[in-house]
Amino acid sequence: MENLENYSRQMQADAYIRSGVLELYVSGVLPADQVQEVEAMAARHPEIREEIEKLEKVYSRYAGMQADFPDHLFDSILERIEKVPQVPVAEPQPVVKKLPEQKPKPVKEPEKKEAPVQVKMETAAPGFMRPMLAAAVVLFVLSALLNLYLFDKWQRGELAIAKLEQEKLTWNEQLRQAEATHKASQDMLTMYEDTNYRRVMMKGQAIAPTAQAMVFWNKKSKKVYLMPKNLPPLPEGKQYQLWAVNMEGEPVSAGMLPPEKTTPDALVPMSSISEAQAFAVSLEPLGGSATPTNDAVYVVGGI
Amino acid sequence: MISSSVTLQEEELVQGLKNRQQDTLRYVYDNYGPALHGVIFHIVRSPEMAEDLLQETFVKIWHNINSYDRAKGRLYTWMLNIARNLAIDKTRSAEFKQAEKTENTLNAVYTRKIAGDEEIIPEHIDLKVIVSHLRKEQRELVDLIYFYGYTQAEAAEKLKIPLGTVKTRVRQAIGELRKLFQTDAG
Repeated sequence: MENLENYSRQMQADAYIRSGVLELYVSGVLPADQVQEVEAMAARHPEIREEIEKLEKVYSRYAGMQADFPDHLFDSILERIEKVPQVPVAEPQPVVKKLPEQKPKPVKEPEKKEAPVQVKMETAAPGFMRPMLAAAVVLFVLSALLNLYLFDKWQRGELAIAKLEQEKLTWNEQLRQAEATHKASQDMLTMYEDTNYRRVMMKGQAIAPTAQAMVFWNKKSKKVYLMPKNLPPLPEGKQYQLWAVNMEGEPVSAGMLPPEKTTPDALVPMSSISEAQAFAVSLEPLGGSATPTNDAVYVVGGI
Repeated sequence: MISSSVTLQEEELVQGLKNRQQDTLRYVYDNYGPALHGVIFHIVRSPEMAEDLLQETFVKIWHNINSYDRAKGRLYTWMLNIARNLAIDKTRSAEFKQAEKTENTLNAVYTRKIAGDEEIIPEHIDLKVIVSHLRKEQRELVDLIYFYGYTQAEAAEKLKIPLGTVKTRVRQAIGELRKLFQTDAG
């Protein structure tokens, strides 16, 4: 039994690899939900993860061949990075110069520079220098306080910028999600229009006469999508499982419906199915069962 | 070239970039730079623009690494999208449209392998050879999907082929590339 399971798992992995979905994944052209599906498959099947890595190498090599790589640009890149205001400027002084409260500053600057000199002279000729030293120290302290104040202001400015950047990223993320949803809708439309996809309407059984769900099955690619149109809410510790009844009349699992996928018109990708005369959905314990629980079959539909 | 333990390395790279380690960025530049540059060049067809955009790409990678999320896919794919989007945006700029008028075409790519040069050329297989081995329809499709980032549906629409054909044809095309690369490794 174990060998059969292993064999069946490997068949699934091979079929998945042969489908060409990984090429699309590596190219970065799959919508978010399909990306998740690929990653789930890669987590479950090491041969799929391996194939992804091989594909990346092939792609990377093909792209690299397009032109000679300018391998001298790294320093220039670092320069450009430093130009963009994200890292705090090492010298607060240049920033300070821009601000309007600056008028006293030019006067203070030479004083500040003189302060260390004054301190040295202090030891040599104390009496003569003392008032000058005191003045220099006072000015130095004032200058330091001003710097602190301005630095704080500048830092707040930086935080504001960082916050705006973050907001921009959030907007970008929302836009991406909207685009992903749009693409998902387009995919659904494609599904309806693509004659390779058979629509199987599954009707409610005795335990739930008004229940309904739909399966889209592409016999050629073996892809299966489940649309959970009207399935009763899940009790604790259970989830729905999709079955395909093969030509010998045996139910073959087509995967679990993730509990969070409850939108009626969601197109949920399920496991690949090569042959079916009917589809059914049953309520099973979390993680699924090897065969459907007979009195927990909610919807059935024939091809 | 990306080494074989990429998955583990990807996590290390992401962490290194988030920690603002310049040596990590250097590694990324050395290993992923050629591919990213190739994609950019394929789209803009100008060495100067490609160099500029490549640098922009790395600046963006550096500054936006915190928005990279493993759940969205591989690091490589994320960087590829940044490079690709910059290049495509460039082609919509006025500057690009002006430059397009100059004959800066495929010839530039084909003559890149300099004959009689003592330098060791890393790629033994010429791009010309590849191009001649792939069927036109395979090459077109790889172009659209890999370089231009067309989705399956968009590519199907553009080439007027069924949706399912896109996947099988891309798989075949990459299969051909792999065969060609393998024979070269020998």
